[in-house]
Amino acid sequence: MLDFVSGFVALLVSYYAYRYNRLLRSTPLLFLSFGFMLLGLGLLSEASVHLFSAVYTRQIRIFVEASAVYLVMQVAAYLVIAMGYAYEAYTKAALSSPAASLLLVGVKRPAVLLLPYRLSVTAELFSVIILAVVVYQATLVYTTSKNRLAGMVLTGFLLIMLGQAISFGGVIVLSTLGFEIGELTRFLGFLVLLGFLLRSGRSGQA
Amino acid sequence: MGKPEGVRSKLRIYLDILRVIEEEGEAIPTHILYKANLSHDRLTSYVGDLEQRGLIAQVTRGESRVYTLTPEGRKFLKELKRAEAFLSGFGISL
Repeated sequence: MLDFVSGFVALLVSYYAYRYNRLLRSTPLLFLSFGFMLLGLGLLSEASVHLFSAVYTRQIRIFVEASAVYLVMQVAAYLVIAMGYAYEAYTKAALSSPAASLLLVGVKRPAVLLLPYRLSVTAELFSVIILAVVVYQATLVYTTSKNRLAGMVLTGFLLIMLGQAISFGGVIVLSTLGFEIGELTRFLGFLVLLGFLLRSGRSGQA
Repeated sequence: MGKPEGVRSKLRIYLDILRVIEEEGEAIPTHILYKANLSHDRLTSYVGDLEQRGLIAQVTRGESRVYTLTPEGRKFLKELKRAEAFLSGFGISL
């Protein structure tokens, strides 16, 4: 359920980034849109396969394969988002404008514990590192602008990164509880991002 | 924020002009020029663009001409404001 909601929020962010890109022709928005789309589709497909396999097939192999595919999509999504940040930061050549931040989720349910250990650890570690870069950029954006919306994006990314880090810990110690806590933390991050979308959408009303 | 200070994108200038007109209801060119911080030549050019796109309309009030937002202009301004808010969350400039 958390994955479905998180995936929906990610796709919503992707949609708005795409919509505003049509208006503004902004490359960082394209990166954002694509990154969030990967993330949202990964979350929704993984959640759907897990639900389907749990209800109908009960085959652990499908369950595990869905998690593996999601892991790859998640890392790709984080990378695309980080690239968007880098593009904005370096092409605009202004330290005071550290580009857009992006969000991501990262939902690894206990099935991830069944994946090859090295694959899980590598993917989780990579995700945490990329997210740390994104959070750093979001922090720069917020500290230079003091913008409340930028603060919401920062909070969202921070929670997502923390959730990812907790999940990483879960992989290391093979703890199901670690995953659940990490997933919940990431979900809170997505809720904050949903709040950001709602608030930014109200800006046109004034 | 994303661009060097002092450099505004075309959309940013459109937004500034539309905002002035929205605030005033009916804005005279001098007010737009002053509040949107534009030279006369640039004002003429941008206002011409906006008029051509049907986002603002020129109305005569006595001996002076004023600009008002068209329904399309209000819609466009609303979308620009939303985009601006969305972008600000990610530190991207309009």
